[in-house]
Amino acid sequence: MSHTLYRHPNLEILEIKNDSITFILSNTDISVANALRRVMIAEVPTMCIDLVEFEANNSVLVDEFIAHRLGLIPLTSHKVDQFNYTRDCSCAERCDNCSVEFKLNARCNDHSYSVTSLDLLSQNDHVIPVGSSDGRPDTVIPIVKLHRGQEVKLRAIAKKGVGKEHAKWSPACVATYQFQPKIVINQNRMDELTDRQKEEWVQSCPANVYQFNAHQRQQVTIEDQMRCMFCMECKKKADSLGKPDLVSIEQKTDKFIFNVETNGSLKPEEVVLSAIQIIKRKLTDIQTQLQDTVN
Amino acid sequence: MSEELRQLVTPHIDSYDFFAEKALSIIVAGLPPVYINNRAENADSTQKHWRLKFKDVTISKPIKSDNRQLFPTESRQSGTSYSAPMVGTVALLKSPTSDEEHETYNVQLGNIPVMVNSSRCHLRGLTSAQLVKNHEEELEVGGYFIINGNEKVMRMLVANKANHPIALTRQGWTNRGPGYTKFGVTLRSVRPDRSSLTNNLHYISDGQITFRFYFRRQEYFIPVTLLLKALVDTTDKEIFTQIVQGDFENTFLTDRVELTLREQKVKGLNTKDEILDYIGSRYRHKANLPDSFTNQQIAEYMIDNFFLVHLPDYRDKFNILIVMIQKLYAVVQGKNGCDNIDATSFHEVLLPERLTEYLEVSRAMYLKAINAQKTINEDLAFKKAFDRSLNIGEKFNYFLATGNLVSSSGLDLQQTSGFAIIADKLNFIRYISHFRSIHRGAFFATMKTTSIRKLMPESFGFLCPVHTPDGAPCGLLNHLSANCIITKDPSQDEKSKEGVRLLPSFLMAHGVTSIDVTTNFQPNSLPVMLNGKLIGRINDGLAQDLVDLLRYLKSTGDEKAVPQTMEVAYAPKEQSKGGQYPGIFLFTTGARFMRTVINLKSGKNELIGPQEQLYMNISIMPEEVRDSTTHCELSPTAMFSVEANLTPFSDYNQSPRNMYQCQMAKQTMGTPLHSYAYRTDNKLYKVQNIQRPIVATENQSKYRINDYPHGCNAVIAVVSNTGYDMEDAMIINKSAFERGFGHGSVYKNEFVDIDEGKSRLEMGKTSISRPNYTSDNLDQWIDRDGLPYIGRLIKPGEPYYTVFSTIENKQVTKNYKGKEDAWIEEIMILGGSTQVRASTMITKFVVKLRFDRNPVIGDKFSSRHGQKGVLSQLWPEINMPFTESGLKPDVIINPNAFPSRMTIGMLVEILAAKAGAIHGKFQDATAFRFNEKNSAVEFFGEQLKQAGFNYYGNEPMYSGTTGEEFHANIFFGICYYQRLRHMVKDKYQVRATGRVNNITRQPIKGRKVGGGIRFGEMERDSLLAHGTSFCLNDRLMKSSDYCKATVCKQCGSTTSVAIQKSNYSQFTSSTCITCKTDEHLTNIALPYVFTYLIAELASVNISLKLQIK
Repeated sequence: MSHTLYRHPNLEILEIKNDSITFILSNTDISVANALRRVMIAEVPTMCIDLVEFEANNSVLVDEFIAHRLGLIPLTSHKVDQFNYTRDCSCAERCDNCSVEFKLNARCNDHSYSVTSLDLLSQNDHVIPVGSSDGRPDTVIPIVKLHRGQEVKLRAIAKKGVGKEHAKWSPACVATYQFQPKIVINQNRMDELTDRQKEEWVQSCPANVYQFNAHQRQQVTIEDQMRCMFCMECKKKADSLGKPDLVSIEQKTDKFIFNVETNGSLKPEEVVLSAIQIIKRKLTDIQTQLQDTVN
Repeated sequence: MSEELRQLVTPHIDSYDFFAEKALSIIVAGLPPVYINNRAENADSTQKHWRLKFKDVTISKPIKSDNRQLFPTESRQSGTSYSAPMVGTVALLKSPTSDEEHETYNVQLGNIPVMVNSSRCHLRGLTSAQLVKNHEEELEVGGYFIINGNEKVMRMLVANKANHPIALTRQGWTNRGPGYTKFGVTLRSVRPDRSSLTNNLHYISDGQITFRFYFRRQEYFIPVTLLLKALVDTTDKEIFTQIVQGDFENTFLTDRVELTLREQKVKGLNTKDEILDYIGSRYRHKANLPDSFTNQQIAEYMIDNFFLVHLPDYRDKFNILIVMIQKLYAVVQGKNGCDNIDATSFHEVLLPERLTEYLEVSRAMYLKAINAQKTINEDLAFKKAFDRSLNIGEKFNYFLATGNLVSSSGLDLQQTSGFAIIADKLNFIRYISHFRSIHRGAFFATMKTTSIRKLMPESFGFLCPVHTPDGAPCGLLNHLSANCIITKDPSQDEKSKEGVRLLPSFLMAHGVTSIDVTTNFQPNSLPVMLNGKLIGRINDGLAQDLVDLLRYLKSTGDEKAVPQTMEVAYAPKEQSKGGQYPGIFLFTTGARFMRTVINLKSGKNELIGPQEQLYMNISIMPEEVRDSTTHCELSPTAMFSVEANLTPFSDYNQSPRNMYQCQMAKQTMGTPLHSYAYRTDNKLYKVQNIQRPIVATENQSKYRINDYPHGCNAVIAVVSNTGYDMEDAMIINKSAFERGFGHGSVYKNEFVDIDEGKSRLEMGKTSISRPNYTSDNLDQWIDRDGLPYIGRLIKPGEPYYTVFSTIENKQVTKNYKGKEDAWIEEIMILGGSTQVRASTMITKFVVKLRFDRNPVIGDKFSSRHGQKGVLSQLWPEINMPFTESGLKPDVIINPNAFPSRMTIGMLVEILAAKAGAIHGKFQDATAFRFNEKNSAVEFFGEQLKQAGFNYYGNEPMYSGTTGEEFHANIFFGICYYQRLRHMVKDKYQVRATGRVNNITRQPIKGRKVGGGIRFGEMERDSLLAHGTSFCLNDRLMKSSDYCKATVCKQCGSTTSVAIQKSNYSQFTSSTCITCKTDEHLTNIALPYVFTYLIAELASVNISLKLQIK
């Protein structure tokens, strides 16, 4: 594959939503695509609660369970680059440069009270639980339900980290790619089929890639080849119809359709950019080290 | 409260209610009195023997010492028994016969354990909200006792069917005496209080029959005709005609009856009175009755209490004895076959009500009381004796705590232990199974033959074919099918009681000729028996119609004389050749198995029993009804137990896998209860993130299992991926774990009693306290009061609590002895109820500790199809294979788990759950809902296809490490995974050095004491085979009991070497005593145990010599 040597990777954004992004990465190798995917999941830093000090807890949930739940609450991490990793920070234990402190002080005086991420008060306006800024009841995250007389009082410290260390730091809920399919229908063969067989064949695809237009010239067309998931059901169907060469499906291994969803801690484009940045930095590191060794 | 759940424990509760409300008074009335010699000088002959008898005994409701109500939760938390006072009155009667009372005594009989939710329990009839208020489960159904804080269930045992003569052959009977054969008829005769006695008839090779009974654990034999004549005034002729019943052609029978009558004649004895006198004289010595009893009275006492005790009337006893004789001859002659005593059709249940029988201990108590004083006239001493020794409650408590039976008569039971089991609250399924388990009896566990363990067709619908453990108790420990009920005693059920009264006249009106009218019947007539009493006989031709009518009326419930719980066992004559002895056997007794089927004639539900089921024609599916079919099952899954019915798509699995799942579900860390805060169980498990299964059977919600979930829906990929999934290992996604997959904890309660093991003088002098808090530097661990902080993590060896002793005037710190880090969840202070102390003095408390048990490598998981595996690696999410939509599996298992085990049900479950998750609905997985024509794969495949997935659940996947697509599509879906309780943290064993055995100096065994793991014979063999002798030497000697010994090369002995210590220096010198020199001495390395062997041999005068080169 000599031509790959001089490829210039290209990135084309198809869609950006609040919490997801779809883009096409082309002119590159699988390894690069997979590297990007892996970095987005495991190495893009975010902020998450990592340390919880309980002062009082007589709720039905035990301390470590609440602490675990707190850890899994995504925190807005758009300013994560301003923070140091605690281990790299110059402070002794922790400081405002490497952590954010939260306070939770909830007590139930009524019949019952749901402690949610709204009760988690941050010291830093940039790092707050996701969904708590707009205050909509459907976006807040429940932590524990209290009965009359129960109380939870704690101090939580959020730190910078990556998904490699603990899944809570991973900003990407979904980070996946698929190869772009290349589907070619052999129309000559297709014409040999009866309408009924054509219909059957079109139905055989669970992802509805094909379309049969009964009214328009009995043509079988490809409705959306991106839907194809390479399950090869249509190939199998074609075989059973005695027309193995009815359709050809190939994977274009230099074009990747990426789909990334985030948990809200970062914007989807931030995740992608951050990931590319990290890969770049890693390569630069190797480059400098290599140069150092060579020199 | 859930009615379905309550139904499951009903046999236990009904039985206890019967005990407390009905049986207690019956047995008290029937308890044999104790006769006392009246030593008063003025006593005349009729007053020589006085009688001591219980008048009545009652059980009240559980109360505390201050007369407030005692609730189960208090007993549980304080580790005491949930019991109620039993009070009785004893009457001293002035003569052996009359009822003239001399005096009555009130006696406290101690506290009798009370079954939770029985009629004696405070929880009975409470609503869910009230139960929760009383710190119980919302779905508490009871059925168990609380003994010393533990929940104990009386184990149901299999017993022979009551009052039904069963023909058997037993090789063992041949050595009962000369001429005895293997043939016999046995009858387990059950009294109204449900205590029982077994009587036997034996066939002797010359044609005679003898009657065998047990009396004080000894066997006695009586010639059967002698017994017949003792029961009623009769003649040889009458006996002959009754037995032969017009069948004079049958010379086999007539010859033998004649011979029996002739041979068993005792000289000069003809009338009933003479024979009674004769029998009485034989048992006078054994019966141990007062001298004033006549022989006749003694004989009547024997007949009343030991012969066919279910029938008080002598004529009835006579009649059934005749039937038994007829049956025995028919079997010996080969006209009928033997009954199979291992078949469920001849079984019923032994229930907790047998507690009643335990009252016999009270008899021994009397005796003790009486022996305590000599003369009857000392009232005060008498009362004192009662006060001291009549604590029957304690005996009951012991019985339930240990399950051991202490009884002089054996109570007609075949075992003396294993009557009570702990209702283990490991998870809800296990807990509820305890109430449905039924054991064949400990005696059968020792038998080498496997025939009793077989799954009999007779048990269909009554015992679950799937739910039995594998291994030692296989087939002996069964579980009742979900639909199987245990009948109540007629005395508890007004309808049934009324039915028994009206039934005989109903039968007479429908073709039965009463035995009271005539004793001469047609040769082809069949006996009609009700609860082991001969009602009459019916003409063969009329029997079927009568039976059909009875069954019809049973299902409609319209006829008062036919109770719905009556069993109509009809063995037809045409099928009797080599089969069951023909007759109509009606039962209305309690403790029988019954289950519901649909009577096709009436279209209504009918209860049937195992004995009648044999000759019935029941279709399993409605579409299978044929012309001859009379009944239809409610559902094809009706044969399963509650638990077996929880396995999804169990009809697709290989059958042993369903059995394994029944075992495994009982080992899952699930939700045992919701009232963790009010429990002090020794060990409780809790899983943090549990879910209701997407795919579940109907029973899952019917029996409220969803209220106590025991697993979670995991995304699963069936792929051989990294090598970490070999041999039933499974890979778990590290991120899934970090998000909470399988997280759980263990609760342990530590009872601390500071006074434990202290002498009486020291007791109460030490208590929890921390007077030196300013100076002891323990603030980090211990609070001011001397107890640890709530919520603190405590590590092994850290200070735990401090005590202060007033004797030594010293504060002592106690350290935490556990070997695992624990959180202190709660501390409960127990008040001493026996000693009055200042309320500030704490000597007894419970510490609830919480241990973190999140999954680690080596922990066990399983699906619901007997597919268990261990966690082999927490695999980083980025390395996990992913699908096109970006899904990454939580669990990866190896496809090799399927071909040999054939758990297709699991594949279908994965398919169904995947479809269910996409479409957002729970899927029904009840067995037998799909078939070949309407297959499950098609059904769920269509659903998947609709959602844009592959029909068969396969998906293309990409390697997480290289990003390339796999060559094959991967089976991918959702499966309900259970976490099993076997955890590495409880099992790991490691040792470098440590304790050794004193004698052999080899490492000791046992994980708890830090022992080693045995390097056994087979391990040795493998090292030998590998030729790794150095390694062998290392394992067996160097790392074990290596020692250096001095040996004399000349005489080859180690024992002759004497070591002397010089008086003037630190050196020692050795010499060989036999060779009188030290020049041949040399040091060799030995396993120490070898020197022990030499010493042992020397003790029996064997000298062992070593040749040293």
